[in-house]
Amino acid sequence: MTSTAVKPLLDVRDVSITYPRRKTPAVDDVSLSIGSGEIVAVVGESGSGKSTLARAVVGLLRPDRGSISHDGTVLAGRRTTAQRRDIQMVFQDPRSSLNPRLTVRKIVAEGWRTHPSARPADPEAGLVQLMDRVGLPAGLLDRTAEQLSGGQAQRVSIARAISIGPRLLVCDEAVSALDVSVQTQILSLLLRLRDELGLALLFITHDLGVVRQIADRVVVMHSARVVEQGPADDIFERPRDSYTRALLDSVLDLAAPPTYEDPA
Amino acid sequence: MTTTLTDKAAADAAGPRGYAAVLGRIRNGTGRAGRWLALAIIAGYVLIAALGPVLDPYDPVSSNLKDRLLAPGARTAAGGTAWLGTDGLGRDMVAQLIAGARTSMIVGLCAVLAAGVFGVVVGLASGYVRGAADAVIMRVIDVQLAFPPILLAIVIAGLFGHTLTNVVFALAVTRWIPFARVARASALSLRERDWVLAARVLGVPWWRIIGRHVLPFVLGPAVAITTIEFSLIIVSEAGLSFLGVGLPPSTASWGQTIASGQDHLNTAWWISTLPGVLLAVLVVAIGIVGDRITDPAGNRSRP
Repeated sequence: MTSTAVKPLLDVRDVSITYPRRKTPAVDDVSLSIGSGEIVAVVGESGSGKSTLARAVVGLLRPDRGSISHDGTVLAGRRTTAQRRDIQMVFQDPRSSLNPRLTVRKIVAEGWRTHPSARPADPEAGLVQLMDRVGLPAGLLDRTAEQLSGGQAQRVSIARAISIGPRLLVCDEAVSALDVSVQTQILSLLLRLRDELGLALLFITHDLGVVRQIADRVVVMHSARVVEQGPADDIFERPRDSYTRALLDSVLDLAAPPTYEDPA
Repeated sequence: MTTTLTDKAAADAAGPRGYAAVLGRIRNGTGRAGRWLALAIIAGYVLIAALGPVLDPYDPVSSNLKDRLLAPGARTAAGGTAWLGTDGLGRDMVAQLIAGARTSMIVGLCAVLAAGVFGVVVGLASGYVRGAADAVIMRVIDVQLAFPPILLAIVIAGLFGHTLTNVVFALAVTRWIPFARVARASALSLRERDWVLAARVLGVPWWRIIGRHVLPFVLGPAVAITTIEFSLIIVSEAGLSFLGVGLPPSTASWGQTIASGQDHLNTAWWISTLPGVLLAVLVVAIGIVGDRITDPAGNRSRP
């Protein structure tokens, strides 16, 4: 199925996760892989398990079954500093993802303490460069997170994530809390970062419009399982699964009500 | 149905009417003045406690049998004036009240500080780590809550002897639980905040996550409940001293003074009444200021 010849940067194999005191798994037997510089979108409705999957990929949750490998090494137990460094995350709510009491300077520079190898020789110049890279004026460095707009806060989140030079950025609904014009700006920023830094993106979203703009490959999740995955064009032009078709219909054809039969 | 609902919503939006409105206005009006008055009273107590011996030359614990049970304003044998009278052993009341304020403040501050630091540390650990540690700590709290706090303090003070340190320890042991509960509740919700998760993804060590991303948000509610705990502690200290299991007799305490006046309530009302009134006024003043502090912190319930 994976036709790409490159060795995957991240390989998720048969992963299942069940939250404590729940009967049904949140993620059930999910496999996917991401190559360097690739943008993979995971789409699905609320509760389909896509955020749980994202948390497992960044190491906030441990899978009950299956494995997650990074560069061919299975990530089990505590991750090494280098493994943490490679996979970073941007969260949905730009406000709550930044500590409101800290200045932008402290937020962005935080990772350098843990990852001294990523710290630039001149941290101040490094900060200014990072801010420039995410399209923010250096003057914002001394603001606290509370004083930022939603779009600015999300750019600071991205600056924090790329400050330690990751190779994979997991974006969990990273643009869904923003209004449409800001969404587009953040998406084009992420695309630019992919081109400039060779960053791979695992893009978790329920918004198919966003997926169409950004994704190379699409993974469709429904009720904790992957129902279909493939190149973005295939998914959009020739969906095979009935749920995918229903999902696409609900967006593309507003006039007609979606017709959807449960595949089970 | 919709119309009645919107009517009601409109009425609610317009604010309370009639009786409730009048009551609210009275509360707001007296509220502000009352809070300033309460603050001034607390400041007065702190000042008196701090200046202490400078204000009054009499020794609060030296007895003088010739001057027994002098009424307020009476002349002492030595020719001085006992402005608030003397007690059954001829000790000057003004000196006792000032020294008692000093004792109350010192014991209250030390005990509330010890209880607060211990409670916040335990609560943070419990709420942030969760799991087995949390379960054990919560059961310990449940068990301790089954004992009346004053009984526990009596046992501890009785076991280890009557010194200032032991009384502070006994009082801190009885009052750490509210701090632990407040800290735990905050830590439980904070650990799921995205900025804490982001720090974990970055690989920030746990102690720095707690210090930088959790603790600062726990301190607000914890500081808010110190007022209530402080007043509970000074009342408990007076209670212990009243029962004779608190501070040693060489240290003046309102509780001891109240106890020493018990036998003379008919003839010398001032001995028990004055320290009792001082204690009550202080506790009410702290309560008024504390209400004001706890309100914006959204922490009205007392654990």
